[in-house]
Amino acid sequence: MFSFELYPQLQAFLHTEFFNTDSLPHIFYRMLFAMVAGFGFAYALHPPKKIFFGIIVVAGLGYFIRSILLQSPIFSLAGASFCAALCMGFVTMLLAKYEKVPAEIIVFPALLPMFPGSYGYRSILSLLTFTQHADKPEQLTYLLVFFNNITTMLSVSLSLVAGVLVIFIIFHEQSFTMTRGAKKTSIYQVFREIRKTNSKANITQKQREK
Amino acid sequence: MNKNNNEDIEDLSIFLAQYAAALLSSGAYTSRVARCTERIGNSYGYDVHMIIWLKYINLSIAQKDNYEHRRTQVSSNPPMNTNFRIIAELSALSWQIHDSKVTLKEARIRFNHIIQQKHNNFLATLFFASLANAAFCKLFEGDVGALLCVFMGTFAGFASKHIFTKLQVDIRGIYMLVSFISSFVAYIGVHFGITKTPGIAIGLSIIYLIPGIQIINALADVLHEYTLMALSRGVNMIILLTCIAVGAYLTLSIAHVSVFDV
Repeated sequence: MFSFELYPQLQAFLHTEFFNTDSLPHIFYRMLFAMVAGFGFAYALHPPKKIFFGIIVVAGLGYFIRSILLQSPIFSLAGASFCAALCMGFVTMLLAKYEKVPAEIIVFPALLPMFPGSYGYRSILSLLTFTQHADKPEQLTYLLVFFNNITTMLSVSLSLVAGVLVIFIIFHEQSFTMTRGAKKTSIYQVFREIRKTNSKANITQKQREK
Repeated sequence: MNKNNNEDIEDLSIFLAQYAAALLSSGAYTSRVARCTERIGNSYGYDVHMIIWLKYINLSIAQKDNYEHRRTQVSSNPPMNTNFRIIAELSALSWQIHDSKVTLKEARIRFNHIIQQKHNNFLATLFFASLANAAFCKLFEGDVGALLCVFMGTFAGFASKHIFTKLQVDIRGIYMLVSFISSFVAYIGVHFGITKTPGIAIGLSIIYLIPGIQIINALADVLHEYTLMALSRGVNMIILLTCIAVGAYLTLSIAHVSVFDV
């Protein structure tokens, strides 16, 4: 049977850990990964093409600020997430005003790489394991793991969203007027595109009928 | 009340119901749906009052200078299909109607145009979602092998999610099956010793399924005092999270591995 142990060089490469320290260059490199994650998650949500740059910048900025704040002994993961989300919210408001799009469609995808999703998944998994180990001594350990994970997930998620929403509330009225004055497509252009879509649909239908 | 007025209010109520439903199902938070819909109604000289549920929207419109002239419209919402382009364009449309006095007929044409525009290419979405999840894996200190496992797991899961959606499988069933497929594909890599961080590889392979936008929208609804909507979204989210966990648990039961350090 195939085993990677027969190819030690390949195995060593696959087991390589990189950019895992808390040094500034490594934080910077991880920020690039956060940007890629932000872009990819956003792409699946079909945002307008003009705001991809904004999403990437905000995602990277948020991750960088949180990582830097976590170096300080003052901030916990939740506290650092809250401060980072505040900054993300503020930058987003400026970008949204410039691009004339709702602020949430920039900042929500950018928040996704910041979520401690693995804690949520592990908390439910530990709950399932807890129920599986009924009346056994290790059962309590799984309950502790569950509460540990769920508390972290909830506190960090709440901090992230609250940080952004605090900015939304400060600029409450502005957040609903961002799209005012967005460029209006000519009605003739709209008709042309509708006609094109309809003719394509007709061709496909005819092909199906054949 | 004359016949024209009756037709006008009928057309407007149908348009507003479609507009609100489209905005909500595209992933807008409740406050935005209410604001934009009311803005359009006000532009045509009507007061709009809404009750918004996850499944239905109840819309009541009344002419501002003649409250006897009113309609109530109840419409069911299409299934959630997050699309931020639609949110941006529909929101802009509400301002265009408000500022440029767009006629209802033109507004309907523009609305249909916005709704009918094509989504992003599926293959590109598949690739970028897989890449994003692999990059996300790095943020949790996965090694090169874990990144590879997560990429493959996400790729397989995302593609199968698309197929199951086409086959009109129930959303909870989809999440359970896709979670199983993603985690199992990632586990295959773990089985062959690709990674020395198996917990991260299997755990992160299903993270892309977590309905993050729903979580954020639920919290935004709480803050805007749409508490019942927030609760509905929250309950839905918990059900989906449980389905995801069950799928992953199936993989772990088959593989007999433990992915968390107690």
